[in-house]
Amino acid sequence: MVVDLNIFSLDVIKKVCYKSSFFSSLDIDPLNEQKVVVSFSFDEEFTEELQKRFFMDFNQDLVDEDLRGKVKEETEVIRNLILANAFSDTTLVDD
Amino acid sequence: MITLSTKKGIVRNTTENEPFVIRASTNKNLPLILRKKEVFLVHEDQNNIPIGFKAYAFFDCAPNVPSEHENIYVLPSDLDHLGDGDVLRIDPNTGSVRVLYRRLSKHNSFLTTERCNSFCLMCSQPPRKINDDYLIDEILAAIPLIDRGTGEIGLSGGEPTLLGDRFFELVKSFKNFLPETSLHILTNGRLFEEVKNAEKISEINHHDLMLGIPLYSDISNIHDFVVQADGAYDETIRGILNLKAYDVRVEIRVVIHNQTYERLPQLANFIARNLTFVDHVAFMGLEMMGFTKTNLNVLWVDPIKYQDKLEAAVTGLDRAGIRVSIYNHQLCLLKPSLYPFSVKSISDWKNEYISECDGCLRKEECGGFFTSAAMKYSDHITPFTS
Amino acid sequence: MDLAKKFKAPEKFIEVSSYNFLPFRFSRFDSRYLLTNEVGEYLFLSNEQFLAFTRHKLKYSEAIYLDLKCKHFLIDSDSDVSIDLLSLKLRTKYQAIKQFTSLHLFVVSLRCDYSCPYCQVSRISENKTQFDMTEETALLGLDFVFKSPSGAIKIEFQGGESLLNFELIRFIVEEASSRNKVEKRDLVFVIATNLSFIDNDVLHFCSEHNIFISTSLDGPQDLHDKNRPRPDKNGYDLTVNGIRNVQRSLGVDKVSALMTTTESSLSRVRDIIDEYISHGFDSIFLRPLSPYGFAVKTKSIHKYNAQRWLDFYKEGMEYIFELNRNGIPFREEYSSIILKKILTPFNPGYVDLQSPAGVAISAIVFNYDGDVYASDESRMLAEMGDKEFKLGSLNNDSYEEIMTSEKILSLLSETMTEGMPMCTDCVFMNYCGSDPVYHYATQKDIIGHKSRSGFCEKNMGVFKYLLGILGEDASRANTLRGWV
Repeated sequence: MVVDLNIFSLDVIKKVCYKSSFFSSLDIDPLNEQKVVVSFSFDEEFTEELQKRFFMDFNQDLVDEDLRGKVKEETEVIRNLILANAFSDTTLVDD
Repeated sequence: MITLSTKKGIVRNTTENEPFVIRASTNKNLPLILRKKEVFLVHEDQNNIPIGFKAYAFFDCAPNVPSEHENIYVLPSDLDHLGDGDVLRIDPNTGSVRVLYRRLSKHNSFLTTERCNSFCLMCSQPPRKINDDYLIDEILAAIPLIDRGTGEIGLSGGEPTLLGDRFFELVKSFKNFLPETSLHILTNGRLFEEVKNAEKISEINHHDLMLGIPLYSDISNIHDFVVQADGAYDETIRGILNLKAYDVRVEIRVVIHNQTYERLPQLANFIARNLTFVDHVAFMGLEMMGFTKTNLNVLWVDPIKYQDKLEAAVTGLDRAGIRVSIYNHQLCLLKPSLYPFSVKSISDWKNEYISECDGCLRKEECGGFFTSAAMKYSDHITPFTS
Repeated sequence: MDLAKKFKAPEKFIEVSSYNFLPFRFSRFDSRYLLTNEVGEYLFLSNEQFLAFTRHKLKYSEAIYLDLKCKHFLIDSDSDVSIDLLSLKLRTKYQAIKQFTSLHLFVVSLRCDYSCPYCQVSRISENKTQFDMTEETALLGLDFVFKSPSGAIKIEFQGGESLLNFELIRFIVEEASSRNKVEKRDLVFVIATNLSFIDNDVLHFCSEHNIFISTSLDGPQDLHDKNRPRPDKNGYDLTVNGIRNVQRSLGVDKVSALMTTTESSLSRVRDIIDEYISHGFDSIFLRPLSPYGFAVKTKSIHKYNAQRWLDFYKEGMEYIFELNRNGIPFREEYSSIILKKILTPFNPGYVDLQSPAGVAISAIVFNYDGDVYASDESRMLAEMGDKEFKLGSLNNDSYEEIMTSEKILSLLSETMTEGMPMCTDCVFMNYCGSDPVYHYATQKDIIGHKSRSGFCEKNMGVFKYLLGILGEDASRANTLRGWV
């Protein structure tokens, strides 16, 4: 599978590969500066049908993981604010 | 709704010229030294009226008034329920009398001010922008006269915290003069967004204080709409958080009407998750007074309609270990699972029943209606026959 | 809306054109999306709703917008008190950590009258001095216990068969109670025992000191005796009679039972639950299959076992729902713990499902010989030859040396799920926790690769099952809510 690095960052690709490594062994190789090739090798028991499902999930996971990155970015500031607030010294929670 | 209703009486032989707050007595044997501070109530026996009282009150009977007594007030007969220990405000210039406190009542409440910083759609005491500082003066004068054995006193308004320092002075006075009486204050809590106010009230260290704070929705703008004040939701919640940080007891009050019933379960869930440390949650039925009458078409919903939501809300809070009560609902309108939470809250002298209630076996438990209900009540009132 | 003139319409109070996200996690869930956040709130969104939400195109007027707002998944210009509330809820969730170690296990003897095949620990031996804890060790243990800042302290006696060294239990209880007059902690004692040796003396003592009894009941007679063979072959009878005895003398809420799930248990969940009901218990803890002793033959053995266990669990849950429908209030304990994380702002403080892991900071074990372990499983691992999770020894190390040792500190810092691959993005992260001993035992790595982890497989299965019901099935959801 060829993945365009302009669409999905390498981090996202690696994360999804990590998750999927149970089902197959993976290799990531750079194709050029813009793209990488992800190669999969499946066990014999992995039928065509299962492989099809696997790729569908893999693609969907790329999209989801990419969105997770965006959400994390968008919420970073507010998250730090909440954490700072949570662990500052107040008396509200019963000690 | 507390109306500052005054009853007009006739004045005779007065030596006073300023209004005064005074305790009533029917004790003929009161020591002379104390009589100087009290008003003697003459109910039937007009003979042997003890001398030495500061004032005397007769009730619309053509008094056989001995002329040697001074400061005689003849009050209308509908005040003749007044008794020993009650506290009155008497204006000697007009002869008008206002009852501030009734010893035998379980529901004494003081109006602290008619000013308010909210403008709730269903306000039972519509705000007025006036200078009513005299109300506080009266209460402060009355407090030392109140029976120490009084169980509970309520404070309401308007918004009591608008009184600033005088509000704290008031709470302190209740603590000092009535160390066995619990104090229940109705407030929108908004001014407690300022931490120092929460600190101040906590420092008074009142022995048994509870603040009743309304929260009408889990959603900020719905709450703001109901109280007609932008930003009120945030202020109120911060107020609650600050109060609880200082260990002040807080009760959340929810008036159920057409603008609040739909998200009752969500509000309950919100409280259970975010305000889990509140001391009590009270669901209230609508009282047909004040602005409720004005906005009735926007507020009215038959209680039968929201029973499922109320049940979900109450159950949710109960499961979260939060104390819940339901006030001002007629029993026949509630789901049976909610009976244990229903409190007979319509106060003593206001209980009224309608013709549909005839023959109902649970009248005693129920409490009926407010007098004001005459204008609108549920289509589903049914008497219990078993 | 027909409001009187001096009142402003609802629209006047919403002047919102856009919203921002508050931190959340998400995942596809059947044909929908599940969102969760740092404080355990959850919400299901349809695909369309999720798309609109994440593209910032969701309209204020939509009902789902309100839910997202009140559960603190989004924030708009109308209100920002959600920040204060999120901070508060977060602090509440982490409160348990501040309490520090509360559960202290004293392994008073390794001797046992049973020979359970799954037990790695016990010794059948008459030799008391070799396998019993001494008073000196016990006193060192108590010193350790009271150094914990926790307001609530639970001392649990384990073994082997703990009652074989009842004299030491008596000694520890009396000594601890005496110290507690000054310490004034909320002190609770539990004796884990197979009930073979529970006589009137023991019962009397337990009654005096308000001690709880915890025993093993694996199921009906044939299953129990198969799992837990006792040379005299009357283990089940002894256990059941013991339970009845304790209920009668100490009270029904003073005795609880735990089951061990073995291969043989997997097909018998209804029978096991029936057994529990028949003895008056109103709950059961469906425990997972132990990973210990399984040679790792293939990489999938643990996941496979997790799947089989999930079938067992779901069948058990179905039966429990059926019981509840038929008027018998019965609860599953593991689910209850997780439900507390999902439905309340509180942390149930369950040692095996915490982040960072509950090792030492939540529970700690003192072995008969004074060695200190991070958990009971750590001790088992040691008996099998691997002392990876030994923290030190009461005889040689001080409290401070043990509790601030590199061993513990690295265990803690490495077991925060927020920092683990896959866990950090998992939608169930806030309901889950770390089990470093499990992952070490199965993958030789305290974090482990979660895609191969039976622990992960099992927990994700339970989360999906419970959340699926909460999101869809009103009547069973109601039953679940009653367990919290």
